[in-house]
Amino acid sequence: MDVEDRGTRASSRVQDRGRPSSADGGAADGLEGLARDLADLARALQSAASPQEVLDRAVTTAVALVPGAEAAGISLVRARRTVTSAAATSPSARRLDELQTELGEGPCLDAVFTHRSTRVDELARETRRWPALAARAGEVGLPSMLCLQLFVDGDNLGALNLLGGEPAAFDDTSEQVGLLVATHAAVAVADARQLAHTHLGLAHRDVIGQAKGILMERHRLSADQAFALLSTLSQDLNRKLHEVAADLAATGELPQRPQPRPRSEHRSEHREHRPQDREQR
Amino acid sequence: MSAAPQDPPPELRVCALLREAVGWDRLVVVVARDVDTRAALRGSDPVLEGYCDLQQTLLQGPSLDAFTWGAPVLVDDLHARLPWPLLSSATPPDLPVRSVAVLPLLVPAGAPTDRPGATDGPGPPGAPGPALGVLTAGRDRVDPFTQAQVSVLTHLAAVVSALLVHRAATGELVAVDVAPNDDLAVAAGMLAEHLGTTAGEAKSRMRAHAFTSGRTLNGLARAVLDGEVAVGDVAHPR
Repeated sequence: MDVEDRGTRASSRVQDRGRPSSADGGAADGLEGLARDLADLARALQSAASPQEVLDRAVTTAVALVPGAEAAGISLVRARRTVTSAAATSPSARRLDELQTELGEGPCLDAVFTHRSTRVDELARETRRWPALAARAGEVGLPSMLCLQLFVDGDNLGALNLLGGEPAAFDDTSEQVGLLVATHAAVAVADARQLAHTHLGLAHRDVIGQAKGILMERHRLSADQAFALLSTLSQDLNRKLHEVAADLAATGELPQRPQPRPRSEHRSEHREHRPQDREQR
Repeated sequence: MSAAPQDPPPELRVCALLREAVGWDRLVVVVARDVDTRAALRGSDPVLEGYCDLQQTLLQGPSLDAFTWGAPVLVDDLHARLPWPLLSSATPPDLPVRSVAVLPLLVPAGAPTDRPGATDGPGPPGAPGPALGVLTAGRDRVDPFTQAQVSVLTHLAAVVSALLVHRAATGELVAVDVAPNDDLAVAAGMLAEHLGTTAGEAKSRMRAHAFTSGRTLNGLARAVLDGEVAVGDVAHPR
């Protein structure tokens, strides 16, 4: 999901690339500014209404706060194999994830699992660590990277990836600020997911109740009979009960069971797949 | 934390540890997604739960404000003049509860707020973000909760929030402790089918019927499911 099209904040920050963490200069002021920015970030993330909003705000703010960052994305890795973009401020961040999945190599598939932060000065020169990815670095469009671990759960991973427009765009300060941002984001993402879990449980209960009520009124069923009908349909369709219920509540129609095919159709299909049978006969 | 099914849920067992220190006669923990998607934890006080139902029916009251604004709301005496006129007029004269403290259940479990919400109305804007419900403690006498007691309750709400999100992730929370009562959703589904409309519209009709018939929304739902009130009567009141 792109953040870039949703507002002007991310793109306006691109012009601030390479600036110190606080625009007003001196070290003490810079630290104060950073502390203030991080406190703002924490509040913004906590007040986000959904997990997606948390992710969107995190990547936008990361670009704004981390010196050298031009683009950011949050990558979710499943089974150390598939890298998906959960949020991104630019197509470059998403392309990086696509390439890692396609090529089976890249920082999110190894380095970020074991290191809280991984800095890549120039992706095209990483010919030893990720040769295939290095060869196609031009497709990402931004040469340097700072990858920050959000969480590791077995073979699953969440990472905040920052991309810089120049080689070696990220320095120690970038890394320190990036780690602080990532820490805030990790906590907020975990909290938002837990909250969504709680709310989803209630929502599922509600929609299943509504579907039961619809069936009870329509077919004069008891609550148990209505629930049994939904459960059977859920099994037949191999879909979750709350999904079947949500369909019924939204459309007023029960999802249809797959129709059994007539026997003659089975036979002809069988023959078509085995033409040698006819020849043998 | 394992417990026999008849035991109170862990959230209420934790609350019970502080009952004497804070001093309350009744306590309810409500988990909510929005005003109409909510459920009280099994084992909550039924009188306070009924008072929460009344607020849900009227769409106003201290619980809704605490949930919406993410700040504690204290009421010194529920039988005094309140900033919620409909609620004031509909509060049963024999309601035994007098003083209440309503704490939002926030994620992440927030630190104690520096504004203990010692007001009878909604808190200021900019309050902490999404809540997953409220915790309400009530006393059967006019005995306002002190700032120190609210501070303890705020910590308790943080612990309860943490327990709730943990158990929600395992599915146990909804399956065991808030699942039994889906009366409102079922009745809304029946009415939606009867009217050929959405469940949201059906709930609005039910809310209007409940208000005019002196019931709560959940009370009306139960009456519909028990056959005491016909779906058609809710759909087309005489």
